[in-house]
Amino acid sequence: MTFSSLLTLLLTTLGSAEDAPPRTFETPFPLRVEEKWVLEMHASPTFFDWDEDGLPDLLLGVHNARCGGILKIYRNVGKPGAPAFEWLENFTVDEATPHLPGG
Amino acid sequence: MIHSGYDGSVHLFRGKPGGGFEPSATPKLSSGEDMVFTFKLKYLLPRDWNGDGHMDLIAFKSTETMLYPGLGDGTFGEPVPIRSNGNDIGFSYATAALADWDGDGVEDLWVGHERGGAYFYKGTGQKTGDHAFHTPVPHFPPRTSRVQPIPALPEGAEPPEIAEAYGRFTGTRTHVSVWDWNGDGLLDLVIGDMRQAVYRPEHPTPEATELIDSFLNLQEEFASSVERAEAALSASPWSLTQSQQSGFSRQLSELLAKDPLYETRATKLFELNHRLFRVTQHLKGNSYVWVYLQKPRPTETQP
Repeated sequence: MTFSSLLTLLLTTLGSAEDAPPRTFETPFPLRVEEKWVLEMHASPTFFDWDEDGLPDLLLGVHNARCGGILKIYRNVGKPGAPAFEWLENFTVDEATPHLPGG
Repeated sequence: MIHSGYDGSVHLFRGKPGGGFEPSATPKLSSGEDMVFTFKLKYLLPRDWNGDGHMDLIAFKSTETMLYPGLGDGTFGEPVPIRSNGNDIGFSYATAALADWDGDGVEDLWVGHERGGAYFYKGTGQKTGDHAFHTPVPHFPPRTSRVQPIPALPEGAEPPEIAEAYGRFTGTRTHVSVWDWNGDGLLDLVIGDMRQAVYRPEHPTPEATELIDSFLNLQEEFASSVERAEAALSASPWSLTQSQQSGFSRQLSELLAKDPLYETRATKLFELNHRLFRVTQHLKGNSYVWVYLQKPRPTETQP
């Protein structure tokens, strides 16, 4: 074992940096789309530039007992640092919305 | 685009040249077998994690996290564990996000939890093996008990009141995403989850008042009995690794079974829950998507 690998092992095992809290947050606010709260069961958000306009869009995986799993795509119509979203489409394959096993 | 279902199925949608997607296909392992996981697989992250130029898949399972290395021919090789200081990373139905949170050039990991909250794993840069991540730091913070009483809200309450009622807790099944929302150079969290509240009508009937009060009182008693049992075991489920959880749950069940009131309360609580949710509709879900802006450190606010 080299000195550097031993040092890495010691640092990762004993560690100190991992004990530091990962900073703090402002009071959370709920996401709004077109002046309405986004109210979805099991919502799983992620951001990706879906329409390739340089602004990350919101991809929201949701699940409910009626539809199963659906991916909703919200286009970012805001500005960098001030996102605003509007519903664009649900993820489709050959114009059909796949109702996937959720979870 | 890749999707993993609650049933363990994996769906790969290949993009078409010029737009659109091919119908679902199942990714293949190098052995030729379909990539199918056991029940409760929750989340797949596509990423060139090992830096060999091929897209890999990081699979967050209910009890562990594994790297499926992409081989560059559309198949994936034998899985390699990704662990935190020797412990498995696995938090059931929640999701995870990778990002260099602290700006040290090494990717870190946020993992949501089945019972709410989120954990921060500082990356070591080792990528795989026992020391891919440091010991997690619970955040938001972890609930002290596995049971969190459902808050009561006035009818028509809006998300700001809901956030206030929950305090710093998230709901259940935290789905976490990382993005610099406000462009201040600090990464923020965007979180979806499951929350419920009992809504008090503006002009309640005596029956509704009694029903709601009974529910609120009983769930407090129920939560207290669970907390006492957890304290008697000198451990909180939040402090346990995934592999320790099942043994703890069994001990807890055995201890609670000795409490003569526990079963009665649990049965009564189930009945009241059903009446509030199905009959009177005073118990409702309020699963909004929450944006947590990261606060700058004091030195970062100075010119």
